[in-house]
Amino acid sequence: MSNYEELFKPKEENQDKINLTKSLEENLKKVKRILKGSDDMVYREFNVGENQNLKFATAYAEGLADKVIVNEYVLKNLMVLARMTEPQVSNIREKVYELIKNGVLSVSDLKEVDDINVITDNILAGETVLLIDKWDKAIIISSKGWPMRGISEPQSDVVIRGPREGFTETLRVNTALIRRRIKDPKFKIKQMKIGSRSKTDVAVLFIDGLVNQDILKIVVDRLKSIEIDGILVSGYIEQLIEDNWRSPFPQIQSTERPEKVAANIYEGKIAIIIDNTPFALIAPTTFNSLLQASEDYNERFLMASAIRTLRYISMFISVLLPALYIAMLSYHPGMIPTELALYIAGNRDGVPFPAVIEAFIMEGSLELLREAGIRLPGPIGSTIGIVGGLVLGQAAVEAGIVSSLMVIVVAITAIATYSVPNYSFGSPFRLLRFAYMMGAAFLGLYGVVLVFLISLIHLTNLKSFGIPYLAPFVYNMSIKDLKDTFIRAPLHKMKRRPEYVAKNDKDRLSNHFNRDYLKKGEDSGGEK
Amino acid sequence: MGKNNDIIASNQLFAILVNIVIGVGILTLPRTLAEKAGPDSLIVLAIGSVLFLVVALVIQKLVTKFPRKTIIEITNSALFKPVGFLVGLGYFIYTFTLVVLEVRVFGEITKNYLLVNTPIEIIIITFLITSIYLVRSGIESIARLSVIILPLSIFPAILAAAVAIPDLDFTYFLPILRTSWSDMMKALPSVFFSFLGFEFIVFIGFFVGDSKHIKKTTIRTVAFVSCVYFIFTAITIARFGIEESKNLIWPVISLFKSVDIPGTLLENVEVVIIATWLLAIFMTIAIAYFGATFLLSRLIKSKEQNYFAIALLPIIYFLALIPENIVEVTDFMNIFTNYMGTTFSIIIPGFMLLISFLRRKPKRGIKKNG
Repeated sequence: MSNYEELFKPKEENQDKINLTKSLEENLKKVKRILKGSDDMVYREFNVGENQNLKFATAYAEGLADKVIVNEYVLKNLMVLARMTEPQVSNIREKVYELIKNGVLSVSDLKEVDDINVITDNILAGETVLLIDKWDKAIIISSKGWPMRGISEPQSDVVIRGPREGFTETLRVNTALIRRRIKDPKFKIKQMKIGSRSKTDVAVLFIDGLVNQDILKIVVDRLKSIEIDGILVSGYIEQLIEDNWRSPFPQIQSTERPEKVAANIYEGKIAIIIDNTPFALIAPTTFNSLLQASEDYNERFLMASAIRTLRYISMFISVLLPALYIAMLSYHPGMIPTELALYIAGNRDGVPFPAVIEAFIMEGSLELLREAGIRLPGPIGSTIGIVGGLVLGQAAVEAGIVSSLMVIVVAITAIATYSVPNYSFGSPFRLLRFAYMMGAAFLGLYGVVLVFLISLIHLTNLKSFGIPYLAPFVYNMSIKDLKDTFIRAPLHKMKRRPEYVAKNDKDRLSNHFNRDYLKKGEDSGGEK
Repeated sequence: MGKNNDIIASNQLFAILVNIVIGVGILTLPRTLAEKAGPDSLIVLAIGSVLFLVVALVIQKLVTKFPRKTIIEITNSALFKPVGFLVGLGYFIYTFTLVVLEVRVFGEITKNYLLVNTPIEIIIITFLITSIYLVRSGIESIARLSVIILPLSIFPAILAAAVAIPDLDFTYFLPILRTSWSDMMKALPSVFFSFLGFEFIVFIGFFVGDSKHIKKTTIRTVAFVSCVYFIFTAITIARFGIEESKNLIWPVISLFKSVDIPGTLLENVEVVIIATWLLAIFMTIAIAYFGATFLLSRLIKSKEQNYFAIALLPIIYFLALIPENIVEVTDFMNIFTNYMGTTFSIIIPGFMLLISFLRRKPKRGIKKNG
């Protein structure tokens, strides 16, 4: 069977273990010494029992631990309720732990530890520690609870028809969002800590038996090998484990949408969720999957297929259009129909620059506008868009610096770039556009073909966790492989998972399901 | 997921082979056929394709008999050691010369139809640098790229040719079978040579993981290529007639030129078609280039194939610039394919197959006795 458990075994900790002693004071002193200078720590010593002869202490980090839990269910229970219950065991001192654990603390998640380093780690993660005098172990009470952003609509992957939930910054909420969509006991959420100082929780999500074991091994091995002081955002992990760091193309997909992650997990892929980031990573990722929007599967297939095709075309437009414009104007004017050529000549009359310079000026200023628009706060950002787009373009044309046709070309290109559903996938096209423009400027259409070839060669070289980036286009030219590419085949025709990922359980839809059966049922229903 | 970057699927082999075979040859095929066979061009083409299928099956048989082996090792095991080296050297020189010739043809076509004012040196050097990138990427990338390039290069061309259908006059192919048999026989080799490149399977077969399917792939490749040839020859000759086809240097390109797609945004669509066709020629050359470096590294038993690619670049560049003009190139190419092509695609593989059959039988006898 599967050996995923072995994969996730943590590496040997080389941190020294500091054992707890029997003395409460000493233990507390040690904890305080390690956490010295952290003024957000709260320590509370108190006595319990009818005779006040049992000494206890709690420690937690203010702001990270939920104070209600600590006050109501830990302190109150111990200090007030414990007095009401008659101890049934004779020697309280020895059985105090069982008493507290089974009878007093009304908190569901408790852990027993004996290492001071573990204790401090847990305090810093938001848990509460309960130390008991004359006992060399401590109880970790799960009390994580800090002000967090609620689940809100994703900002980047917006859909019209589909769930409105997006990931938040809290790992547990995110995994729950996915668990709600996959209620399979074989769905695994394995956690590890990455970052020697940040100790960021990273969860690896997959369905056992569906996931490709080879890919899982690569992912986990690469995650484990990361030795860094801190992980702040998912981009760190993405860049540290991706196959080719030189490539402009993202080899890991990141998304804010839980249902997209769930869909990918159902395909046999692996999701990585990082604490403090509202983006989940999906590996392996292919070129094709970055052009899929989660709405495609919600729409009827004809519309979805049309939009898919449109998206592929717009991808080509976004990289090729300015380059083709330059190539035709400077090298192959014969290709432009005579009337249009005359119009362009008239339009460009008085423009002092060749088409290349013109294109670079306009594309450059477009990128400038985009950057300015993103960084500025909302209302000002849209002002920049209007001022830049309308006023600047109009003024540039009127001043005769650029031709109005060039403005149209640039505008179409910009619109086409935005139709790429994944934001980080849109950026390589923005970058490549300039390479194509250079190619066109130096060698015309031949230059465009050369740059196209170079980018294709690069893409065929690229792999995402052992899966060719251009899968499924690169295997064989059968229609079967193209069911979820330029078109999105009707759902009942997509009976199998994508073969390049799922190696084990390939059937998605039962083979017995077909539409004819449904139709028969309808007919007889109508007769009644 | 081969870790050594050296295993391709038989489907990818199909794409690679089609990409090698279809390249420069098709551009002149209608002219040579019109010259030699006249109205019976299509019949000669059909017969030639069937005959080539037989040859292809012979080569394929040899490759399937020795899975995961190149021609060098095949020869070594069939004959004795130094012969393998010599045969391998022969194949190396053959593929290398092909690269040089095709690079020059490529440069000429690009210069003629796309970049009239750019010096051919620039075209060739940029082209070679791009192909080095692919050669250094290894066979798996080449295989994947072939699968992608194949539809990208062939479909636009077929579409553009299909636009010419209303203008076609198939009476040019009448009367049939009036050409004398001897003339038809003389035309057959040119059909044959338009399939050249297929013999690269003797060392590309080395990379195929599922060698059981090579036979099917061979048949598919020859069938597909002959279909494409048939379509283009039929449309070109039916468009221009026998006499005009004889006088065109690149009849197929002229066909694209004559095409006027109604209501399009662009005039002179042939520029676009040539641009996409460049992808097909690129693949032909890049695969041959890869073959040359691969054979070289096998010959001197070195693993540094990537460095050979760079070392060969200046040699290819200077050799490609030696011919004065395109006529010299095509003349040399004709002679070259006549002799070298026959040797390396028919004689050597056939001979090897024969020998391997002869040598295996006594071995079996010994086993039975023992």
